[in-house]
Formats: sequence, C-alpha cells, structure tokens
Amino acid sequence: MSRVHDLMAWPVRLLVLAAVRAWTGARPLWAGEPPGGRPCVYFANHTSHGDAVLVWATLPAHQRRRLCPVVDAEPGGATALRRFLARCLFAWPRPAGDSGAATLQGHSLLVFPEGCRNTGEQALLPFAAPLYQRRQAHPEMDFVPVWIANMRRVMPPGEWLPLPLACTVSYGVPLVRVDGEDEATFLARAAAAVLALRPEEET
Amino acid sequence: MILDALPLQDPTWQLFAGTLAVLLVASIVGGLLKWRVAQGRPHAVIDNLNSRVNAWWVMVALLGVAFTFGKPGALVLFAFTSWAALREYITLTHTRRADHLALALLFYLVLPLQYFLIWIEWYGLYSIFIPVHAFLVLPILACLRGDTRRFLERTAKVQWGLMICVYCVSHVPALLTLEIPGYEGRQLLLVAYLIIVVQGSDVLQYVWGKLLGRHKIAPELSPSKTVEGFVGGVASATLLGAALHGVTPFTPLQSAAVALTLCLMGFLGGLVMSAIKRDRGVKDWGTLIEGHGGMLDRLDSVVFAAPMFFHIVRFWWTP
Repeated sequence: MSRVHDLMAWPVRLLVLAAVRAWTGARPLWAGEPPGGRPCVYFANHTSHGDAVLVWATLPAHQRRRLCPVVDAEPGGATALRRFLARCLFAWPRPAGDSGAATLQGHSLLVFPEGCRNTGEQALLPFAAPLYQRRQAHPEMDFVPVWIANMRRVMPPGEWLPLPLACTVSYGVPLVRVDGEDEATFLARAAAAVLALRPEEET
Repeated sequence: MILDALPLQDPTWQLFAGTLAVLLVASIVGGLLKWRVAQGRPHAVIDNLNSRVNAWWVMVALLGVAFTFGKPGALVLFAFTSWAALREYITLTHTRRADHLALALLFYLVLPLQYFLIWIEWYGLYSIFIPVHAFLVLPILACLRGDTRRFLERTAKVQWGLMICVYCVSHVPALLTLEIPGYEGRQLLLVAYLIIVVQGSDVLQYVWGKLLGRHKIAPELSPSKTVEGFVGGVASATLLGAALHGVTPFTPLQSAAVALTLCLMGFLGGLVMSAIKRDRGVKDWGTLIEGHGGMLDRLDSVVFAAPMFFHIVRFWWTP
C-alpha cells in the first residue's frame, strides 16, 4: 500500500463506518461470545455487493482491522473505486497462499461459500468445496457462521442507490470439530448453521 | 439574585424547567426502586423503567437543542425523525426488487420535499403533496419494472408507510406555519404542548397501568395496555393539558377538550400501530431508543394526534 493510501485510509474508514451506521444501523447479534483477538474464518450468505462492508462495520474494532474478505471478483477485475475502498477498509491485498499465510499474519477471513451472489428466491445456495478445503487445512481456526439480513434490499444487484433499511448481522457459535467428516456432510452442516441464524421476519 | 437572571417569566423556559424537574423526579424514583426493591440486582420492569427514563433525557435534550434553533431546528429534527421512522417501517414491510426506485424516491425526494414545502409554508401543496402526487407517482414507478406479484399489497404498504412516517409526523413542525391572531411568534409552544400532552398521556398510562392495571383493554393488540391505565392516563393527561392552557391560545376548558382529543387519538393510534406490529410478527419496530424499542414505538401516538391537532387549531383558531 502506498503512502497516499495510508493517509487516506483512516478518514475513508471513518466515513464508511459512519455512513453504514447511518443508513443501515449495522447491528451485530452474537449467539455466543464475540471473538477475542484470535483470527477466525467467517462464512456468510451473499446477496449484495455491500455484504463485506456490512460485516466489517459490525465486527468489534480489533476484528475489523484484520478482516480480509475472499470475494468472487478479485480487486484486479473490479472498478478503481472498489479497489480503492478494499485497500482502505480491509487487510488487503490478501497475502499469497490464501488462508495459510493469512493465519500466519493474524488475518481473519470472510468467505461467501455460495460462490456467487444469490439473486434468486432461494434463501441459501449450496456451499462450494473451498470451504471444506480451508477447514481441512486449518482445523485449529474458529469457523463462525454468519447471516446477513436485509442487505439484499439495501442494495439489490444492478442498483446503485442504497436504501436506508435496518440491517442485522447474526454471528453464530463457531462450528464444532468433527474428526473424519466428509466434504458433503461438512458443507451441509455449515450451510445449516448459517440458515439457522436467519431471523424469523425474513422467512 | 441569581434567579432574576434566569428568564423565569418566559413560558418556554417554564415548560422546559418543568419537564426537567419531572425527569429528575423520575430518575430519583428509578434509582430508589433499583436500590430498595431490586437491591441492585437485574429486574426486568425496573431496568426497563430506568432505560426509558434515560432515553427521555436524551429525547428532551434533543428537543431542547432543536427548539433553540427555532423553525429550522424543529424541521431538521422532525425530518430526521421521519427518516428513522420510515426506515423502521420499510424494513419490516415486504417489498420486491422492482420497488427499489420507488423506495429510493421516498427517502431521497418525497421526504425532503415535504419538509421543504413546510419550510416555505406552502400549505396548498404540503397538505396534498403526499396523498395526491406521491401516491400517484410511486405505483407508476413500481409497475414500470413489470413485476406484478403482490402489487396492490406492496403499493398499499408503501403508501401507508409514507402517510404515517412522513405526512403525519411532518404536521408537528407544520404547527409553526399557523398564523394565530394574538399568538405570533409563539408557535413553538404549540409543538411543545402537543408533545407534552401526547407523550405525557403515554407515560401516565404506563404509570397508572403499572400501579393499578388489572383488566386488559385490548389483549390481542397490546398485552400491556389496561383499562385502569387508559382511564387514569387519559384523565390525568387531560388535566395536564388544561393546566398548560397558559402556553396555548386556548381557554382552560378548550385546552382540556383539545388534550382529551389528542389523548384519545394517541391511544387509538398506538393500537393501530400495534396491530401492524402483530401482523408482521414483531414486538417492537426497532432498537433505536433503549427501553422503548424503535422510533415508531415512541412516536405511534404522536403520529395520529399531530394532523388532528394541526387541523383543529387551523380550523378554529386561524382566520
């Protein structure tokens, strides 16, 4: 990150945080204890471009600083504005070697295991294999299920004007370790943990 | 004497000082209850009472700051109130992607424009802008996207939200535009009167209900409202309104009649808003105000009383 970015990052972070709070209320709901200083892997449903920023805004400050979203569109392919924002807000660029190196550097990962944004009527799309591989590689990390509510309505795909609607981010308790679990069982369990966090009003 | 330096003769200051005194008493009572009855341990009712009182301090402070800026202060405060209320309402309402543009227009154009029209005191337009122009344009925008699923329901819900959160709430600052002979420059006191009577009625209903409440008045709508709370609260708030006649253009009897109307509208408005909440399966509109719930939980009675009050005063007290 260049010096200019360093100088800009702080006011941009404050501005984005204030805007997200003013527009969405950005309220976290913790099923268990909020995470301490340890890096973890958050896995969430994905319906809007704003999802990563909303999770970022609802995390406690020490987790926010180390958050590193793993999104489908790499910053190289994104617009200049989104690349700039990603550099200001997140622990970006992501260290090479993905979660392995990230763990070493104390980053927390935010993954969207559905693989792409869910624009249909289904609540949650099937989870893709990379989540299982991450879990295999780092069984010691906490894998925290996350449900992002309402963000789809704030900024639906294809719209550019965000609506002010209250959003909550529900964080579940980390998945328990099950030794020798196969891929399909693990992914189904992870998806069920995310779906279980869905608030009643949404159904 | 230091007391001579204070503007004690100014009714605005008297109202404000009276409100602060009531809050102080409420805080002391809340503290005593926490100390003696709950003995410092968590206690659902007492803790909720104390967070309600604390929230009242914040709300009164905000009103006080807004009032020192006069009309622009009141307009900005109530515009933000509408914004927060509308956000809660639309959050709990079923809308579809095709409604996005109409909803954006609601927040970014209709709401500011309604308050701007009140700012320039254009009664002929601000009294029909939402129920005529906005109501016609919003469904047009929604239907142009071609999504007809639950269309009538979506349209009706958005219109009703606009009505209660923007149109009705905007009638509080609209009181400032009324030209009452012999009452020039004092219209802020009408706003204070409305808020004190209606919110006072809510608070007194709560107090009477907690002290004497036995019989539920509308169990399927609002489990906490009781006959004793309703009668005691409305009666005492009516007396409060009569006692406050000095800050209004009303005689004591007129003031009591107006206050009674406001209390009844406020109570019934609270029931309507509860019915909407039950329909959506939620207990509170939001979480904005600790102890109270959301903005709409605090505002539900004002929403229904404000336009009524505005038109009562406009019809009988302006030439």
